[in-house]
Amino acid sequence: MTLPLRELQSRLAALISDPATLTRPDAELATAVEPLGIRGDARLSAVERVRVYGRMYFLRLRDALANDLPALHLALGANAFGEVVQRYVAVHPSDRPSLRDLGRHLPGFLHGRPDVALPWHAELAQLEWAMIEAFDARDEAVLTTGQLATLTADAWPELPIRPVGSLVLLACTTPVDDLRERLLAGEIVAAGGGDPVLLRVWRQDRQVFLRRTSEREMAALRWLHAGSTFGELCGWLAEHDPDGAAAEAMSLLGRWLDDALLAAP
Amino acid sequence: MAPSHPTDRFAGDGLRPRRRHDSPSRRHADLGFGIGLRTGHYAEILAHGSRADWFEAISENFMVPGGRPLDVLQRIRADFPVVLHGVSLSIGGSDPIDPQYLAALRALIERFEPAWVSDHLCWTSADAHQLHDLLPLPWTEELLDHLVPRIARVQDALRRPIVLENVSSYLTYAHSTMTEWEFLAALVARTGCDLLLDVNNVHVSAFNHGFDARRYVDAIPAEHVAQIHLAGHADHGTHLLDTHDAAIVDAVWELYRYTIARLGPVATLVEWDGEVPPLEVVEQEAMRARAVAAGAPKECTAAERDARDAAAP
Repeated sequence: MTLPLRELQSRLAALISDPATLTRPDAELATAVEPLGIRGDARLSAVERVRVYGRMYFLRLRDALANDLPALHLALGANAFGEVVQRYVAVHPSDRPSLRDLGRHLPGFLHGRPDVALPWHAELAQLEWAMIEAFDARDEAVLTTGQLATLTADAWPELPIRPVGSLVLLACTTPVDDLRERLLAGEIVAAGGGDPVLLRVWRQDRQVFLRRTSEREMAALRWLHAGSTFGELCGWLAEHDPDGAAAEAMSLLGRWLDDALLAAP
Repeated sequence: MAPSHPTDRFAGDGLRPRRRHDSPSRRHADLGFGIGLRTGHYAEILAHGSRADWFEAISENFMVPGGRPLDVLQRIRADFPVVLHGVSLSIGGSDPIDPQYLAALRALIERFEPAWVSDHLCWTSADAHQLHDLLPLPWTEELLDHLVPRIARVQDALRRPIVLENVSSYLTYAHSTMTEWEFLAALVARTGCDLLLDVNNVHVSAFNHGFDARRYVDAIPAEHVAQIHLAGHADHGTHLLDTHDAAIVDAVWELYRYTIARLGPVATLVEWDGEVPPLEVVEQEAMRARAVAAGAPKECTAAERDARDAAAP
């Protein structure tokens, strides 16, 4: 009996995406393949034809993730990375048309999974994914010193201050920025370790940047996340340091303008 | 619109496709000889232009909010005709066609004004699980009935005809009631859609399933072929795998020559996706396609050849 198209596709998809399809004995797999009505011949049985698709399925997903997370790939090594991918896609099968989105759950998947990866691997994935998000974040105009030069003194407190949408803030227990750089330079890094780091990742023009930041700047950027005004920023800074708030605000503003970190009003 | 990145060799002509020779019987212009746009070639194309006549961009790679890929495509589009080629429409799938995907594709069409938009005659997802592969369909009347309204929905949403490509396949179904080429002809007749004839895929599938590649080409309705694809594949002994990671083999060049002799000039594009070589190497393949097409003779069809052979003493 011929299966309806939906059932045929559902069953074949399940076989292709099941790692066991590549290892199950032929006779056992043939029982699952037989109802699909797949033709075999002397050169390739129906079972082997399904396995062709099964092999390509994992290779394609593995290659896409290795391309997106090159440092994690190097940190784990090809074999362990392949095993991670297999476990990951079993829990988070792709549900979006673009392979670009496949790895979006990977950092969360790796966190708290010592059976799969070490904690610094999860943080490395988090950093690399943040860089991908920044890479193709929405284009937006940034606040410039030229725009500030036209402001009157009265207008400064109402100046809207909002970080660009590409900005991602990361608090990592290991110096993953340094580890990433060493891995990509070809160094073998077997273990994490080192001091915690606070990182900001953002895009300036068409390039993604990564920089360490202070607790104070990180807190200010988090507070500003939804947008505020320069006056309110000064007020927030004054809660911690009433005397130095104005100077600190100007210092932060100067740094953020240099880095094209603030969206144009 | 002035080109944002003019080159000495290719003056920008706005967003209009550069038409070479339009076949009166085809809806789509013959854009000449193009190559697939790949990230590793961005910088060189922007700096020095390209010997390719046009580029094909993978639609899904540009369904992003912003950033460098969209900017690069915009700049290349200012100087070259571009075609959008999708891999995830799943026109033959059983899940509903994703309206968000169609909206994203429509947005790309409005921004880049591609010469045409193509995807594959296959299914790519089931039960909302994206397999990121081009999976084969059973060639049946039921499938035709399934495809007709889906193609209409896509064409309505995109406000333009969709061009569908034949895929390489490694399996076929016993319950198919017609050949792939008979199905393509019937699909075109029922829907009016156009075809992207991947000559390498015809060669790969012909080997994998034991049919005559020329007979396939003969059955394709020539006036509906908008584009041809050429690519390399891998020989695994028991089967050929459509890998796009190597030079085009002689047998595919020969089939291409035969196809052009049958169809006349058709926009032709070289795909190279794995182990992508320098731009110059891919361009050389496109230039070879130009030379092969220029030298293609007018040939008899396989049916005519068989009749001639039968008549021979």
